[in-house]
Amino acid sequence: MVFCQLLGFAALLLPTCMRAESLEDAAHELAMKVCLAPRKQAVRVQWQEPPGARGYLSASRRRVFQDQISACGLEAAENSDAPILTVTIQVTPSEALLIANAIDAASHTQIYVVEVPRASLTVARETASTPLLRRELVWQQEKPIQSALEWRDPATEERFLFLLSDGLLDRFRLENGAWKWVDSTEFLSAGARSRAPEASLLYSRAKARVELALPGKICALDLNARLSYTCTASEFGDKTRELSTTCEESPRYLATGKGDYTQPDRIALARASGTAAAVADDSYAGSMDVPGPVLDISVTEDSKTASAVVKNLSTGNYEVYRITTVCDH
Amino acid sequence: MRFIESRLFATTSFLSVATSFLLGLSLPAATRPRYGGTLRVEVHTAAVSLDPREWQMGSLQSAANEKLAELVFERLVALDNYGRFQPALATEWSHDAANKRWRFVVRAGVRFSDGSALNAEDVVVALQPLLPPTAQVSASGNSFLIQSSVPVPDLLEQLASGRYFVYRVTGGGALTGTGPFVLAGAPAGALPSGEKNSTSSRAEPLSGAASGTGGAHLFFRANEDTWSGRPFVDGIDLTLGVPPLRAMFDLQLGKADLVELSPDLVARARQATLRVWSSDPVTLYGLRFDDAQASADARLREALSVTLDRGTMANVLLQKQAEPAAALLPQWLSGYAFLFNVDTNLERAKELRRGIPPNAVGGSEPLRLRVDAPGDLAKLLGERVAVNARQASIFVQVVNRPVANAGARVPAPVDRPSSVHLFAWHYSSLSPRSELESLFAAYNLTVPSEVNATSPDHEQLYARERRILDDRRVLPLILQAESVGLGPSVRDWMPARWGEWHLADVWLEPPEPVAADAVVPAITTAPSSPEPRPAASGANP
Repeated sequence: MVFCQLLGFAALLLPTCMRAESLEDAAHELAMKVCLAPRKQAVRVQWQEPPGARGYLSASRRRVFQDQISACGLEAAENSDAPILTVTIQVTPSEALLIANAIDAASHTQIYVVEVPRASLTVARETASTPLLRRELVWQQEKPIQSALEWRDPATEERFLFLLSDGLLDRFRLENGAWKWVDSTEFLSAGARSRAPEASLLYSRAKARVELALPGKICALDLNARLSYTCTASEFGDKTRELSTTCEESPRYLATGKGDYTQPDRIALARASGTAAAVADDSYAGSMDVPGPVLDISVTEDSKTASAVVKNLSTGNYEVYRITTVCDH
Repeated sequence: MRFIESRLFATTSFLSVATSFLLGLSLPAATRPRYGGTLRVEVHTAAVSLDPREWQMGSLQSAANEKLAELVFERLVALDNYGRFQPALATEWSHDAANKRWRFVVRAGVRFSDGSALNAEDVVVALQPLLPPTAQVSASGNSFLIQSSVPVPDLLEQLASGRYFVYRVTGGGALTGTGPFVLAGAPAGALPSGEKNSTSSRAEPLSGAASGTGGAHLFFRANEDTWSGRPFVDGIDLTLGVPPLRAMFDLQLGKADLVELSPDLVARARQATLRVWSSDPVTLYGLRFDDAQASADARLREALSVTLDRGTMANVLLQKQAEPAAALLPQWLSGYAFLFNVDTNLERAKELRRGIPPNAVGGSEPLRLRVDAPGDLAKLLGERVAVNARQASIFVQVVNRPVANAGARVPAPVDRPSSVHLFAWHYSSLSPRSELESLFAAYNLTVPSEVNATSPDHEQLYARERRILDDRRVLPLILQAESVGLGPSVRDWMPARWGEWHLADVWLEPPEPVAADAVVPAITTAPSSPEPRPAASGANP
């Protein structure tokens, strides 16, 4: 009893406008607000998730809320006579609102609101993949990524990730399962700033080196010292998307959808070329949905994996996926 | 032998390409945009003003102004579709614990379309007339301060929306901006003589030509030097004053790429398999009692409220292109609108009607409803209100808005004052507090003293709105979305759900190649990477 009174006193000291940093915090703070109700009685909590915000009110967040209101004397009741306390989440352009509302004896609606920055919400929309292609998220960030490439140094066996983003070429090294930033260098595109991606990373098997393709030139990366590059004038033809598999001798080619940047995409394995019979066959035996448009694909030095840059349409983040093939026995 | 090989290759390649078309896949990672072309846009409004200082908050006209201003001006920050504030002309910002003192850093290297560099002083001069009197702006080096006498935790929401554009007033009163397009006048012969050779956005309203075939054209050319990257299209040919039906026909006939669709044409456009996009509801239609009537008879206000059949208005009159409104702010903006309910209750209305004195307004004397909002939809809504009210024996006399030439000011009526007004309110701010304050100020809705009028806290906002709605001085009717029709070549149409068009990101798909052109090698691909087009003559290096 004393504990509840102390808790209620602490709640009175809370600022009027409550803004949490995460939904877990918000669930707790909302419960604290509800605890300020003058009459402590059992309530029946109803959870509502509107169609656009499904999945946010997870079981753990509900438990945080219910544990807290129980602790301050608002017993969560199952019986139908108890007044209903409805808890919902609503999303506005910049915020997510955790709202609890109840109708009091005078038929007035009492509401409690805690605000959370909407950007703190993340949605993982998993999509199924077919057995022939597998994806693994290796990097994600808010700033646009133009191109990405994973590379294993044949001399040291160390793995690196190169990212082109926001006018910078960044190098990361894999250490203890995490990418650690090594260094970076600016890359400048020719002419006026373009709204479209115009630089791309690739591995040239002919020259056995990592290259940066810019409009009208090809640049060789110097990876021995601090990251730098040397460019020569050359028209960039095409990036190979040939992916070798252990399942069959003939290589496959990575293909993506024809949609624009507003649509989810998919990555598929296409047969290279050949006879008409082969084309009539299932040319896209393996395909895999990705959560947004594929902006760039770079095949790694061993031709067994590729790095795909995807803009996730659910979160707005730019993501790098490692694309590999597996044999469907 | 050589011939046979070639033919086999061509056949194989053709089949490969054909298969990829059938499967909706392309081999060369295809989602890259292309540069070039002119986007042809048709809008209903016959006149626009690109001077944010002149815009009337909440007016339907301000919605059109804002859409076009986004082409030539930019704001300090932008709110993306994921709820994240993105740097625009400001690259950094911070505030004190009280949310009263905000500091912004101005992006370096930004130039106005006349070639002059943007600095913090420009931002101060542009923003000070737009901000409320409680806020003072001052420059300091490459940054500027906004000092407010009241907390403004929602300042970013405000600055990312509405009229908070950064501009510079040049000699002669013209406005120049840093945006992705430059108002370049009009194609030869398409604009009234006064509009030709305009290179910046003038302060006075730009009006269309009064011709029988439609409005005037405004031409916006791509800004080659904008910091955010040249737009994909070379220019936007905007036609003003196009009647809704004609705009839809132009879209069907391929004479336009993007047209505004009126609500009554949305279903028809969809039936015609046109691409249609609709925003979240951005316009509120409602009834507002004037001050004298508001204090007169609460029974009349409640009686009228419960006669209104908002469902029929939204679903029949507007063919489901609107939704019944129970609150002043829409759900997508406030987050709490679902807590308001209004139900039609004719029995209750009749009971209330019986209590109104015979000689009072709504008794023997009809209630005068003046339709303040422009357009046929508002008239239809006014008539529907009268029909609904009559079912409870409340007689409503509808007084329509005087018809005026496009762009001209409507004179104030000189006849008897109206008791209730039908208004339209266009939401322009992403701050629910700011929007509610603007609406209250515009309609002189006083806030109960016990409610904190400056708090952006949603509980306080809800309380303010609840008090006004419970008082029934304002009766929300419907919420209407904006719709546009899109031509098949328009790609990367990525508008904000609150109505911003983002035309700088749109690109145009070239016409489909003829079948013979499809016989190309399937794997070797020409790069579709767009090259920035050479700078237009006269542009800055």
